[in-house]
Amino acid sequence: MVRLTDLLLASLLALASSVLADNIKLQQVDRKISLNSQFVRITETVKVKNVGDQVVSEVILCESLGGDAVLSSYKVVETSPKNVLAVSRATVAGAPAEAACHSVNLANPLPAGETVGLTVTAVLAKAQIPYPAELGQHETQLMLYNGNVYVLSPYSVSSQTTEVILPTSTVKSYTDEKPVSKSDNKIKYGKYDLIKPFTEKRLSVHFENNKPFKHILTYVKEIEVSHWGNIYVEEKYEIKNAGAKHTGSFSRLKYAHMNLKANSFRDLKAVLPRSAHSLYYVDLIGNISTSNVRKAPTSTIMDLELRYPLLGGWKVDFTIGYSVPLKGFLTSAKSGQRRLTMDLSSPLEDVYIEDMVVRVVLPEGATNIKANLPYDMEKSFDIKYTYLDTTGRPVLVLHKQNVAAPEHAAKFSVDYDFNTVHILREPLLLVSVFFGLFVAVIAYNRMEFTITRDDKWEAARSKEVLATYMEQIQALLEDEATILSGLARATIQLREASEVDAVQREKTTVEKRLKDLEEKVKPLLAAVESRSVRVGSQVRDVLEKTRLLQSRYFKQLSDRIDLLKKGIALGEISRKLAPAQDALTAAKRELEGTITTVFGAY
Amino acid sequence: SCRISVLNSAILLQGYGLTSEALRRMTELAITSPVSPSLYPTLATVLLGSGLCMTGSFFLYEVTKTKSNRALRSELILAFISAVLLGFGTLFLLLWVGVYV
Repeated sequence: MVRLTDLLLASLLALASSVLADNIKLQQVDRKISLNSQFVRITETVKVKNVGDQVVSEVILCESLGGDAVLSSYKVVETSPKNVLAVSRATVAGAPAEAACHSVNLANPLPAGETVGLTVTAVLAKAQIPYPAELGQHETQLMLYNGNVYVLSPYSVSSQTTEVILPTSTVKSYTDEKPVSKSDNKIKYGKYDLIKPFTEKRLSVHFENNKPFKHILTYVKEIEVSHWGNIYVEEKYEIKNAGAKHTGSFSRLKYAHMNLKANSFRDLKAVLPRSAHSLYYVDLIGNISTSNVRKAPTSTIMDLELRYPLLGGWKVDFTIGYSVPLKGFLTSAKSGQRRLTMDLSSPLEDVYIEDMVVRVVLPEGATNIKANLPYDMEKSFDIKYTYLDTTGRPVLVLHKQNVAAPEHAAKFSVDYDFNTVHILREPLLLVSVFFGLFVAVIAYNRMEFTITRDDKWEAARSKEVLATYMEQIQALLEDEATILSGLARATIQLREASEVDAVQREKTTVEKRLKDLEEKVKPLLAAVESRSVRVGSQVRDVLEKTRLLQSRYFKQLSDRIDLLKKGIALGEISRKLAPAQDALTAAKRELEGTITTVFGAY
Repeated sequence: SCRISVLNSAILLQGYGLTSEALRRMTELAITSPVSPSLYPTLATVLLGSGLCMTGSFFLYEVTKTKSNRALRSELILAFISAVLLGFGTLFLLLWVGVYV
C-alpha cells in the first residue's frame, strides 16, 4: 500500500520538474556557431514564449560543453530594448552532464501568453580539439569540434536553425543530420521542428583551422601609481601555442621560405593607451628589438614579434612595460576619494588567458581601498616595498581564470583615500637621512679620541684654548671696526649745521658701545696674558693702535663740526680736512695689517 | 586648465555614447602633481646646488671654529637647512630622471 505522504511527495516532485519545462516554450532559436578563430563563439537569437498562466521572471538557458571546453564569457541581452540581463549559474535536474546552464533574470516579468526576444553570446575556450594531435612542420592543422546539433534547452523548442561558420571551406567531415547543407565555409543545420527538452545529438565537425591558438598561461599585470605624476604598468606573459603539437624536426630554412606557416605564429599586437610612453619589451635575456610602436588617434599600437616563432606546443615568456601620465586615469571625486581607472585585461588582441592576476600598487598612506570591477574577480591584499618606502605600499590583487581577450576587455576603477600629506613621506625620508649624516659629523667633532693625554696633547690643548680667546678678541675688534666705519660715513655725510645735533647724539652712542667692547676685551686680554706673555703684549699693542685710531676718528668729526659751524663752504671743508682724512685711512689700513699678522695664526 | 581637460574627456566620452560617465567626469577633478613636472629639472638643480653650498658652509664652520667657540644651535640650523635642501633636491632629481617615487 502506498502511503499518502509518499504519493504527495512524488506528485510534488513531478510537478516541480514539469513546472520548469512546461510553462516556457522556445518558439524560435537561431544559432550561429563561429569556429573562425581559436575560440568557439556561439550567438543565439531566442524567442521565449510564456505558455503557462503565471508571470515568468526567470528563464534557464544552457550550453553544451564537451571535453575540456571552458565557458569563458556568457552574456544575455534582451533584443528589443537592448538591456543586459543578470545571469547566474544554475543546476537543472535532468540536464546532461556536459550542459552548463544559466538562469537569466528578465528585465520585466513576462506575462502569460507573451513572448520576449533574447540574444545570447557565449565564448568557449579549449573547445576545438586538434585532430591529429601532432603535426609536422608545415602540415595544415585540423580541428575537431564536438557540440550538439540541437539547442540544449530545458524547454521544448518549436523551431530552430544552426549555422556553423568555418575559417576555410576545407571540411573533412561533419555530422549529417538532415536537413543539412554546406556552402563554401558555412554549414547550415535546420530547420528542426518540435524538439523535446535536452535532446542530445552529437554535432561533430572536422575542419581545417590555421588560426593562431594564442594561449597565455600566466599573465601578471602590475600597475604602480605615483602621485608625483606617473603610472607605471608592467605586464609579464607566458605564452604558448595551444594548437596541434609539433613533432619531428624544425628547419629554419624551410620555415623562412615556405608561405604556409600552418598553425605557427610569431606576431602579437598590443593596443595601449594613447598617452603611453617609455615602452619596453624585454625578457630574461634582455631587450627584444623586434617590435614597432605607432600612435593611432585613440591608442598606441605596439606590434611585437616573439623571439622565435611558436609552433604547436612551444612557449615563450616576455615582459612589456609602459608609463602613462596621471591625466585621464587618476581623478578625485567630491568626497575626497581618489579614483584610478585603467584597462583590466591584457592589451593583446585575440588571446586566451588561463590565469590572470592584476596588482594595483597604491602609494604609501592609501587607505580604504575599494575596487569597482566589470566582472567577478578574487580580491586580496599584499604589500610591496619599492623606492623610498618605509611601511610599504598597499597592493590590491585581483585574480581571475579563463579570460578571453576581446570579450573581457573592459575598464575597472579603484577608489582609495589618500591624504596629500603622505606624498611628503618620501622627501622627508631623504631629509632625515641627510640630517642624520650631519648630526653624526657634529657628534664626531665633540668626541675625544686620544688614548693617552701626554705633553704633546697638553700643548695642543693650550694652543687651542689660546686660539679660542684670540678668535673672540678678533670678533670684538671687527665689531669695533664696523661701528667706526659707521661713524666715518656719518662724518662724511654731514653737510649742514642743522644736522650737527643728530651726529653728536650718534657720537655719544658710538662712544658708549666702544666702551662696552672695551669692557668685554679686558677679561679676554687677561686670559691671553696668563697663557702667553708674548702674545699678550702683541694684543695689547693692537688695542693701543685701535684706541689711537678711535681718537683720530673723533678728532676728524669735531673738526668738521667746527668748520661747519663757522659757515665755510663744503668744498673748502673737504679740502681742509683732506690730509687728515688720508692719514686716517693710512692708519686704518696699517691697523688691519697688524691685526691680520697677529691674529692670523689663530 | 585642468577643468578644460576634464571637459575634453567628458566630450570624448559623450561621443562614444557614455553620457552618464561623461556627466560623472565633469564633477571629478583630474589629479596633478603638487609641483608641475616641467619644473622638476629647475628645482632639482637649484635645490641641489644650494644644498651643496650650505653643506660646504656647514663643513667650513665645523673645521674653522675652535672647540669652545662652537654653538650647537647654529650647527644644527646649518645642518637642518642643508639636509632639507639636499633631501628635496634629491627627490626632484629622482623625479626628473624618471624614477617616479
